[in-house]
Amino acid sequence: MNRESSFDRFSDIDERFLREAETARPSRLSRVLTVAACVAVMAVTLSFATGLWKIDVPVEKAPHLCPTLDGEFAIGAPILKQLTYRDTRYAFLSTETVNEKALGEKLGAIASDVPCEDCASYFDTFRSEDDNGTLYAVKGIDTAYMLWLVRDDGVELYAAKDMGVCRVGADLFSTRLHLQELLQSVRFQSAAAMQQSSTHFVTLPSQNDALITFLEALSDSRAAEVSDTASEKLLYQLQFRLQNGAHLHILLYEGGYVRWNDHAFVMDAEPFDTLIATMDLLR
Amino acid sequence: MTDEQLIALYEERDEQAIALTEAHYGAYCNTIVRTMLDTKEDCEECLADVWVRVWNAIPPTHPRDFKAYVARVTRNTACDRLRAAYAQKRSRHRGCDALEEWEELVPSTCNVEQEAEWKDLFDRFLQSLSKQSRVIFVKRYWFMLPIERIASELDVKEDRVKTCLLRTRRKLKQFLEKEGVSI
Repeated sequence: MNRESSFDRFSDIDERFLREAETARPSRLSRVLTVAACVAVMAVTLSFATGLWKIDVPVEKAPHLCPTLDGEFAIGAPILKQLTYRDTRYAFLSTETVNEKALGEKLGAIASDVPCEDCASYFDTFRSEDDNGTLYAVKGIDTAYMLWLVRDDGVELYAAKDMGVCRVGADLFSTRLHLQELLQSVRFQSAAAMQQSSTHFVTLPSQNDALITFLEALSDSRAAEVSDTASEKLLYQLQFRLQNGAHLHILLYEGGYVRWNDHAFVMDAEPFDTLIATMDLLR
Repeated sequence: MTDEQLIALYEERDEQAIALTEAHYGAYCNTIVRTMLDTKEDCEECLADVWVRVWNAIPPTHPRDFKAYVARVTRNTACDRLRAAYAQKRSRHRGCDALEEWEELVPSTCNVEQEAEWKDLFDRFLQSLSKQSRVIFVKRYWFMLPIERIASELDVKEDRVKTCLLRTRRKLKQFLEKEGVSI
């Protein structure tokens, strides 16, 4: 087998891929973003010019994004530059097994029992039709209280509405007691205990060069579509514990994709791959 | 004239088929060839070879998608010329960069012999990619488009295209190794 053969055989790919490549145009999203950016720049310029927007308004306060965190961190890559974090934690794996269906049913029952506005939507995430695979564990972390679910197809943060959990942390404390009572195989730990008990949970010093470079590069990364990450393999999760005690999760996917709740970015290869290599070494 | 009627002419060995194919798909094939080869003479000679190859292949071949089939023959013919020029180092055509990039995917040993198996491998691999990665990869290594043109067509930065290609080549390498092709 030589270059000619494999290169020639690539000629035989299915016609639909050829048609797709021929007809591909810039995504509507990128065009919309470009137009939106232009409109935003014009609007901001106009606001300054007319005195409608005073410059002392903190830019990082994005009221539509996680408002109870007081803008400590908001969705949007540039804001990441303003992050102050105590330490970082990475994805972990667990060995406990939980039956997904049974878990879903129990969680559903709990959701209806607990008087908490956000609980229903939160628990709905466990029963989504998009959720495939067997749950291996459910873990809660102290303080901000988040549920971590790890599946057999790799490390996965299931609790997509973790920020919502942050918002209703006090209410969910009682929910947690219900969960523990009803779900024998669910275990809740403090962050420190969980870190000690898991072999795949590593801490990287906050002054790590690879991490600093990564965060700087992330601030300059480009917006991507969340759907782009769907076919990519989840490599790691970064968990930042901020100085105000809140937690922030960033998911790293193959291909340089970084996801943060419902937002996705694509990064340059070098800082991304360097951080992945650093984390690989630490495992 | 429909593609089926064109194919029928080939099967009847009617030489009009060649002229009609050129009239229908000459410009399209010329576009493919021009992205790979530099000189006008090379392109013209290549296209002449394409019409002969199609004439010789049909029958017995009966393409399901005639346009794609002609495009495939065009690419293969241009690749042959590109490779000959590349090996003799007598000229550096446009497509040489893509060919060089592909070198890191050249298998040393493999257990994939049949064309159908290769097709299946590549199809499965392409299917596993995100749409943008797939489009960029096919534009680069099938249509052999220059990186700057891909970036322009998709309205993305050239660096983004390069990064995407690098990552996709790595993925393909891993995929092929997993399927028993040693790189």
